[in-house]
Amino acid sequence: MIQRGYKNNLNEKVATRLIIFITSIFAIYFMLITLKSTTFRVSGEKGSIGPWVFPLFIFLSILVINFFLLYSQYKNKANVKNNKVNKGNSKTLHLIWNIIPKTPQRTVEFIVILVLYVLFWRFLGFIISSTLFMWGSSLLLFQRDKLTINITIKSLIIVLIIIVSISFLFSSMFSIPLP
Amino acid sequence: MEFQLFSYLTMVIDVLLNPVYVLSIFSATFMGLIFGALPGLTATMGIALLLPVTFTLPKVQALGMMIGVYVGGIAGGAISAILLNIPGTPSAVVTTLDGYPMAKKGQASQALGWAATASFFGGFISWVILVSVAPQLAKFALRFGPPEYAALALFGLTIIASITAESMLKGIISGLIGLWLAIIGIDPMIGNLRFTFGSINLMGGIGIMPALIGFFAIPQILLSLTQKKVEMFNIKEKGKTLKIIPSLTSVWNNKINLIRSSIIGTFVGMIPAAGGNIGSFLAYDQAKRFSKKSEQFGKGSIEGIIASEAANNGVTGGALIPLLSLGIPGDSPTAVLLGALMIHGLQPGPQFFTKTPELAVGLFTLALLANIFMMLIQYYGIGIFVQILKIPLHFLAPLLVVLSVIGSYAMRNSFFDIWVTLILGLFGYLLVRGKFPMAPIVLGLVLGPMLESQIRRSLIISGGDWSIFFTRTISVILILLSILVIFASLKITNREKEKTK
Repeated sequence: MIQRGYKNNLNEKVATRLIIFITSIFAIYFMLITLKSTTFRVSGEKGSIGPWVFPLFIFLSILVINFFLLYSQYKNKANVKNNKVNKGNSKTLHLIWNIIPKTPQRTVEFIVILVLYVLFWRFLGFIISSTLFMWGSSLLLFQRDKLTINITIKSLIIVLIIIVSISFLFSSMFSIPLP
Repeated sequence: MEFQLFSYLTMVIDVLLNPVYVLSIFSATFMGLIFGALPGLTATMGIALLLPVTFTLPKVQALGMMIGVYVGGIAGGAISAILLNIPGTPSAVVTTLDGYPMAKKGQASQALGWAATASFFGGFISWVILVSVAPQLAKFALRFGPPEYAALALFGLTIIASITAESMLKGIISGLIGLWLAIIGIDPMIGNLRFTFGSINLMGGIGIMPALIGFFAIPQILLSLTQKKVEMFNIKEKGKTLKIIPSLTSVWNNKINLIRSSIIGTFVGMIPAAGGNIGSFLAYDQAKRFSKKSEQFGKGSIEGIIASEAANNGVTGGALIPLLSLGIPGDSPTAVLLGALMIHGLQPGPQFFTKTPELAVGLFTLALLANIFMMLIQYYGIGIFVQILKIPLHFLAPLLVVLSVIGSYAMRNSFFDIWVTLILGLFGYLLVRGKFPMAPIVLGLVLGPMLESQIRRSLIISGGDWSIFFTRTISVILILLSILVIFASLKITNREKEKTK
């Protein structure tokens, strides 16, 4: 069984490597845009540096620091007893072994609902989309074994009251129009 | 004629005894606290929303109310920063470093009490400076040109090394990510589009508030979902009696930190258009440097909260100095205040104090009152604020998401900003899992535009000669301080590494 400390450490390492990978790929891509795009070929104002200097500095710095970060990770590599995925902890979803940090199923489900909420916010309007989101999430996050129809209906009523109140507060009192 | 506050003592008493003025300031400060506490709503927004309401009010009352929102808005950011690890305003980012760890240790009320106290001290000390030497200090602020602004931005960015000494490489990456986000949009000098990929929405760049909400609120909410306990964020309040108001002894023991941080905030706020966010970072860095328990910073140190909040509210008085003396706003809220002054037919400038002394006296009095109310509302409201912690997770997490989405949308009425928040939020979740600090991202985002544009302006002035940064006194001092900060941080990092070996 993987030790908890090791699991957290592994998750941190995996997440770090993923961030290094993502930021490096994007940095190279943006760097190529900077070097090739005509937008950046404009020479700097008289005596000053061009619009490409600062972005290029940022992307090169990211690549360099990422290299050092990766190096320091491998240099400080912890002793690993078991590299295999622990399938005994059932509520964790693994998409790709040791490339994506282990994320609890609950969190993944919440993220999916969150993305759907943002997607439909514009089309369904604030009140409907927020009510559905809050109600769905509250049921998702509630202790499954204690979920009853009564609680489901009570949740819906509470959520409706909260959302309508928020809508009134922001639209009428703060003059922030919501869709 | 020299402006003397105490010559107008009767005017002060008139203002204080006017129940309409007092109630207005109370309401405005309360509104400001709410705006500051809710991520996405800012003091700037609060002042802008209040402005139409004040058209028909007497000038003193109208402007006093807006200052009340300003003071409350800056202080309110600490509430969500401490309780939820979600800064209500960019300047409250630093408060999360120690406020939230304190809340996790069951000391949320104590942290909030200190935040309120430090905010009051910061506001009060900056008020004293404003009232006594505003015109003279404004002249000093005018000495800041492009090289000084660039050096100040550089100094601010080197603070990253200090606040992330334990994992400096990750802190630098976070700062670079912030700088990266800051360069998206329109080039500040030429006006060319950079990395907009043909999107109209990206022409305005990445908004600070959507990014702040994305990097702080979303990851924190997602992390909390793994809590086994029902209570949100696993925070408890120890003991029956809430220790809210710090004792006079403890205030006296922290007097140096309070005064130093307030003065730092005042001076940073005083620099026109520098923005007040950097003040809390600088004060935090200095507090850590001079503290006997610097290893506690980032783990729940009261000194960290004191430094951050005192500097934050020190900025409020400081930003009023160039505004009233020169007609130049110190930060975003004072930019809106400048508009308000003009709408009310007032002309800020060197003669503001001498030509309209009754207005100046009234404003100063109401500003002091706003600071007092800000502290009292927080003291008496803490018992209510901490009840937030008792809201069940299955309601609070989605509610925070809804408020975050509204907050992102509210600034520019843009659906794109909501997507920005979501995408950056998911990326921020990954960053948090990898133990990358979030505060440097905000630093990079806020200071990046200033650094680039001021470097380029400086080089235009000097005709491409980089020595311009090394031949001006203030610029040289700031650059030397930056180098000092980096070396000191490296020393601390090496010391920590040796200790763990």
